[in-house]
Amino acid sequence: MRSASIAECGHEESNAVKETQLLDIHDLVVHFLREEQVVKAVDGVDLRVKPGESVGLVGESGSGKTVLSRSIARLMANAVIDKMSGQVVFQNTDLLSLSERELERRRRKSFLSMVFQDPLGYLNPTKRVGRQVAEALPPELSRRSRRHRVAELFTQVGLPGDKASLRLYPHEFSGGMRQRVLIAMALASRPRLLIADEPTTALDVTVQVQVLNTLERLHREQDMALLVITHDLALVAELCDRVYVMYAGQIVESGDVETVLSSPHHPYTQGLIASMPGQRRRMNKVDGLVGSVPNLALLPSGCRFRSRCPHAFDRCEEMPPLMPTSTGSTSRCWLSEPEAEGEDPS
Amino acid sequence: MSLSGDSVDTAELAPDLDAPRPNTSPGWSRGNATHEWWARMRASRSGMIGLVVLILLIAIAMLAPLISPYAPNELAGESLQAPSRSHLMGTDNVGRDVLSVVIYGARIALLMGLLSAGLALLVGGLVGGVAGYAGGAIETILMRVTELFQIIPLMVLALFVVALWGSHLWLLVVAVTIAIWPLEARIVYGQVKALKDREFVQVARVAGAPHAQILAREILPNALPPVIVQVSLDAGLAILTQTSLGFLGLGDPNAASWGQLLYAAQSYLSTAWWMSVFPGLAVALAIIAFSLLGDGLNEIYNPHQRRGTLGRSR
Amino acid sequence: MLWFVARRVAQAVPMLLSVILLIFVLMQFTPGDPVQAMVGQYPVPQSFRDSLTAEYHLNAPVWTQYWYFLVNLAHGNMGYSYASHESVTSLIAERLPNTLLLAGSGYIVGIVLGGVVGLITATTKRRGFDTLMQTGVVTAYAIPSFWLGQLLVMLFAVHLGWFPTQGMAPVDSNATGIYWFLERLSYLILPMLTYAVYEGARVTRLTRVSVIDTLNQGYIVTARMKGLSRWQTVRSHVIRNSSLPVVTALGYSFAVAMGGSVLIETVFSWPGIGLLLVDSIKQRDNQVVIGLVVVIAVAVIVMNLLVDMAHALLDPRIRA
Ligand SMILES: Nc1ncnc2c1ncn2[C@@H]1O[C@H](COP(=O)(O)OP(=O)(O)OP(=O)(O)O)[C@@H](O)[C@H]1O
Ligand SMILES: [Mg+2]
Repeated sequence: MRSASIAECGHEESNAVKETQLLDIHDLVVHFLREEQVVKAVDGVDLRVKPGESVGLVGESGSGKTVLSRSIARLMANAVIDKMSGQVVFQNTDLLSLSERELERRRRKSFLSMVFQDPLGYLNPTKRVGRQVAEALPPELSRRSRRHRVAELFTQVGLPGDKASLRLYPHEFSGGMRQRVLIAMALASRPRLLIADEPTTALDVTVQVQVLNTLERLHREQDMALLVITHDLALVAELCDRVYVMYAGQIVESGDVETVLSSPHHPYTQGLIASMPGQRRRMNKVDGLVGSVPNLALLPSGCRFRSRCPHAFDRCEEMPPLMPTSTGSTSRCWLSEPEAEGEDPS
Repeated sequence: MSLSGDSVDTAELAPDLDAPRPNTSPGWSRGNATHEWWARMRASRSGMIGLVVLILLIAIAMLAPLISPYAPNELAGESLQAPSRSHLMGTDNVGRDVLSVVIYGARIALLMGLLSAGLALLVGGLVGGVAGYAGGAIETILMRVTELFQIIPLMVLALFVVALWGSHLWLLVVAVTIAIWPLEARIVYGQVKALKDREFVQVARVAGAPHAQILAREILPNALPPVIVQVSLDAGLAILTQTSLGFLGLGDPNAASWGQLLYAAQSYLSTAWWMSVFPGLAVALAIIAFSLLGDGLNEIYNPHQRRGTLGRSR
Repeated sequence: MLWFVARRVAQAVPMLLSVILLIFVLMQFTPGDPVQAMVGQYPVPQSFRDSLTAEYHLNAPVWTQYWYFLVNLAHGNMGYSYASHESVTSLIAERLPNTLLLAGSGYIVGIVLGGVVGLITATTKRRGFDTLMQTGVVTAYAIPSFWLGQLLVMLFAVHLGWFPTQGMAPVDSNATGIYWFLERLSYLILPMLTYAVYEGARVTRLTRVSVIDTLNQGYIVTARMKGLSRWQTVRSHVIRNSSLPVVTALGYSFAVAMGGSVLIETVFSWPGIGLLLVDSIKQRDNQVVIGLVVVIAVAVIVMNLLVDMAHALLDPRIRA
């Protein structure tokens, strides 16, 4: 009797946690096989997004952001996957355990959508944009309401919704417009979570601002949660409530945006911030990052940032866990242990 | 690479030219690469099968007088005899031993096939090489001419040449050469053009090396691998074209060849299947040998783009 | 689109002129005098030689000769076949529909079969089927078309007796209506199959590579994100896009099919232009040979033009 009630208790508790989370990733591992080597692109990631929240995921190029976001959406197309484990709980269902059929069904309605990094490659060059967007609508819609809805989506993302524009082909659009088409497509199913993978890297600065404003407006108006992937911390500061910092397949720091940006604990985060244009003077304690993300197939043991870290010491040969810090964020660094704080060896 | 992967790396689909090559002249023919070459050849299933069959065919061709039961044009017995102990592949309409004709036919097929492929490489290599290296107007003109030759279907072009010039044994070689040289020209052209702008060639050029030396030392050794692959494939094509001309009754009537036997067989399809089946098999075997060898060589030279014809050799 | 068509047609004209020039140049290298090149070794009276010399200005400089060669072609005059006492133009016109029927049906059946098989091999999860088809493709490439034709005749016509061995229609037959059609069909099937095997093998190979390439494109991921099923994705995003390189290659494979018609028509005694070409060469009737080579070259150029237009229809990026 007793053991049963304990089990029940545990169950209830985890349910309570789940209910407040829209997305709850637990210990996600995605390893590829490339030329007979294991590429640890995502290696034990925990990440949460509450309904209506805006979360940032930052990290340098090659740190595994795209792989992580694609795995969440189960869109890891055409990769030779060596190992994929963990849980991606979205709306109380573990997506990794869903059948392909079930996924397809869910994707059509209030699920999660993605906006991809490169807008041209992700649009079919031989199909009119209007039709491509219409494809994302629930199939039961009538022809008329379909057309109406596409035009509506176009105006929502700031594109002209007239008939002629819908009949254009992707190559007849500018880069910014293509990105908006992709966003319109992602919004068609009224998703609860929009994952935007570097939505603005391919665009020039003025267009970047416009696209970001569009995303933010949609986020507010439709109460849609956002997971924004970027290497631009300024963007995160502007758009997000919370932020995860990713390095070499792992989360190395997470917390409220203000906390993390104003008092970063992990040396990598400090380096990222110091590398921001205009930040060099303010953070005179740390220099910008040197070097780049190590080959994810040949990772050293222990802390993965060790080789580039200005504060590395003996203990770094052991992998630090993610631990709570004094400011309420979490950090994967021995120096962030509350009792270790202040005893910077350098 | 895994055998069970559900997908293909995009790198595998990239054309050979995109395959990354070091910036120093790797020159396959230099140094002691023979050992490595052989090791890789051994690892290629298609390549080894092709090589073995080809060596077998060459041996048969060379040893024909020793192993063939009769002389090729000797009247060895009654005409149209079905295969039996004394005539393993039967006899043809005039009483020749089919097995003997098939054995001697290997000589003509290989000799003429390799000769045509070699000549085509010479002509095509010259045209393509000059076009690729010279650039400008010369490039345009030469490659346009090459394209023109490809508008007329290969077989029709060969026939046209035979019609105009006659069908002596080695005019046939010329006809086949004229029909297939554009293939070599295009591949050599592509290689030379791509290599011309590579760093190691430019270094040689800046150092003041004469054109002939740059071509001979820097470009040719590096352009060779894909060209060798193409030549292997085209040797098969040459044999096919040669046999086709023979089948149409345009070969040398005095030479005992596979094509000529197939031509004769055409009139006896309802009575003497062996006249068609055995020489046909021989042709198919020769073509398969060259095409597998080509695949094997391709695996050796372009390991990034291994797509053998024998299944997915990934 | 109209502009695109106009431009491509304009580009085809110099192509046409230069191919004819090439044919003309090859003729110049013929041993013997130019009349010899034109009539071949067929025994013709001196008066015919003289009239040819006058008509084609064979005593004039080479460029004048080329000009008159072109002028005659432009008038639809391809000479006179002394061997069959008929003008070459009408001889070819008589045979051409037969070749178009045979090569055309084989070509289409092959393309459809190859497209379907290629699509399946590229998308199936069953390795066995893929390997089987790949092996089939390699085998098809290695077997000479005329030998396959002979094998089919021996098996299905001689041994099983299902189809006639050769020809295009029975010598005397009073079948009408559907029976007439079926009778014709029975003659068509074997040679058509022979074509279809080669075209099918080629298209299978091209399609497979192209589909795999398309499946690696980003917009396929987008389609999946939208919730399209595997089949819906294939139907709406893969088929059209992956057909582009296949369509481009059809021009070349048409040329190959025209070359193959010589062999296949010979095996099946199919009275098309391929058989005519072979017969004319054997009779040393060069007027016909030259006319046929010109017609085939023109056909290939026209086919390439059509292929380009089909490509433009399928791909909005190149319509400009
Ligand atoms: N399909 C794949 N097969 C093998 N390795 C892959 C595959 N996709 C990504 N990788 C590897 O995973 C690692 C992480 O790649 P990812 O694209 O997630 O980086 P990213 O953080 O998104 O970088 P960027 O900012 O440049 O987009 C890289 O080392 C990459 O080479
Ligand atoms: Mg990325």
